[in-house]
Amino acid sequence: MRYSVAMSGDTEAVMRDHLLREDGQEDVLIATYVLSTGIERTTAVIRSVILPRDGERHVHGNASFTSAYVLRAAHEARVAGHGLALLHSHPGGHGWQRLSRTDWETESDYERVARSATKMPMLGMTLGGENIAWSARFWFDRTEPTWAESVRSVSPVLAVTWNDELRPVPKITGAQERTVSSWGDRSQGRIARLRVLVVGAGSVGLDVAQRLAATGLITVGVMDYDAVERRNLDRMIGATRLDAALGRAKVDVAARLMKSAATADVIDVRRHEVSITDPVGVSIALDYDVIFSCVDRPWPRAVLNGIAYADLIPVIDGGIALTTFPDGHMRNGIWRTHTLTPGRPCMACIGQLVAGEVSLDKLGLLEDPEYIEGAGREAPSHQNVAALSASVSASLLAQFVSLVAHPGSRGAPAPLHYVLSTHTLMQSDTSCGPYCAYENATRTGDRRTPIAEHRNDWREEVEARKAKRHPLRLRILSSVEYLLQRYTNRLR
Amino acid sequence: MSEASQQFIADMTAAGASARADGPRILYDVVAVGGALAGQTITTGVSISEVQSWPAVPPHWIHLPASVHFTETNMDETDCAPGYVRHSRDYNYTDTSIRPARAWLSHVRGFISIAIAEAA
Ligand SMILES: [Zn+2]
Repeated sequence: MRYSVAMSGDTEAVMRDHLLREDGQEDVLIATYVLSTGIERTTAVIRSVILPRDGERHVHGNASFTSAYVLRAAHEARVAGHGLALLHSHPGGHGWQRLSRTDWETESDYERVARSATKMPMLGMTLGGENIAWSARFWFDRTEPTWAESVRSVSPVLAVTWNDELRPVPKITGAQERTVSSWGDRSQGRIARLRVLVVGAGSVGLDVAQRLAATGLITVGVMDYDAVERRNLDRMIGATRLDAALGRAKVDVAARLMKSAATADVIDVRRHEVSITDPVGVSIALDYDVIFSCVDRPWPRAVLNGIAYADLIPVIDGGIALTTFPDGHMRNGIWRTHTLTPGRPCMACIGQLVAGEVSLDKLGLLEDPEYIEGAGREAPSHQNVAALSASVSASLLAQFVSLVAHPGSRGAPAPLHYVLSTHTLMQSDTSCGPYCAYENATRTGDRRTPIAEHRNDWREEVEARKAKRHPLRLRILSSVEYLLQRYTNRLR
Repeated sequence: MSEASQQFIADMTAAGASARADGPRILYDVVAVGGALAGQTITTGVSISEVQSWPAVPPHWIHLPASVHFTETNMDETDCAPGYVRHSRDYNYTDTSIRPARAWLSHVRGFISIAIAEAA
């Protein structure tokens, strides 16, 4: 299991303002957390900050907690069902901070208090003041802490401090010269280590996944339980007639294309043939730092909209809608893209997700001609052209760059939409309303509203595909293709 | 009962439509403000399976007595009490400055108010 810590940008600002004093002295602070549990990663999501009252801590020389402060906070954490986090600052510290002997003893001393009160491991965190670098460790017992791999602060600006020992900076390769000269080797080192998940490997997702690989990311996941069909070939650039003939899984096609596009020495492409609307898909998603939502139905969108806020994993979503005149020629096209983080509106509040349609989607009625007829609805439009789906992926990727490299220090933009007929790009000034269930569930971690549901239909589809036998000539072609790919990818 | 279903009952009750569980559904009363049923109190409901993600995902189907008619809707009897059917009606809740239960209630009220007189 890997460990990490996540906090919203607002929470981080409160903690930073307290810990970095004008007089340059060290300070201490206590916070609470909830867990967000993935398959391979457990994240402590900082829930609330418990500021010290007068006399509850000493700040001269080595700052220290009083036991009254720790006991009060432990009680508050227990009542709320949260875990306890002890924080302190190293005002002159640069990068991921280790523990001094005194720090170690303090945290180890309070571990028992924290664990017996909250029944959860104690979290220790340090803020290095020199370049605003956080570090964190989990105390499962008092003898030795387990170090986290990263600490992320999530707002329209995503800032991650990496533990270089657990996730070393990847070597910059010759293929990355142009990339690195655009944002510098430090940014490259931070961005390349992000674990990014692309949900939906259709026209847009496939493009996004390849460009992430070409940017030098060392871990990219793709999630889709669907297979390539002939009718996909006009948009899934890179998918071949052989892929369609063999009905290959979209994630397999994505993985092949990503490996050819990769510029890192080694890329770890994770293929997830699962549905994001199933709890297993959600658990997988919780292992990632950023998620691209390249899906077009309300149910998967609702699930991802939930994760963005509850688990503090930025979700970058987008889509395109084309309309035609009755005589068949093109009327208009609108594409939208938006990054979901605390401080930006959710998909339900900008109208990208009609939550009232989720239950229809769950019943499979959104595509049911009989149902559509009875409801007097318009049939869902599936018009799409390859020449335009690139606009969606381009805009999603630009949001990603703004989120992680923050040119102009501004982070991801407000929701964008482009109207093809009038050539206008617009930025929305909407925010979530006071009763938005998604934003109100920010930082709830594993207590998120359950939107995913166990289903067998997609599992059966995947099983049937795996069991299917193909004609010999296609199998031979497939083996030849595989070998060619393998040797090509080994070229340096 | 799940946390979400309890929350739905609590929210509807707070919005003035006291709600109670009844087998696989939750029932509550609504007064029709217009249409053929104007002034009448109608017992209506939702399937419990549809409020498992409440309030992030609202229900969709509206349970009503089979004697209430509409010009055009999709219907079925899933989770319905005897003598009831459920109707599908598009629900687009994007104004999150309104409480979810109040928004749902006015949606249901609006629907009941377009009911047509029962054919004799
Ligand atoms: Zn919202």
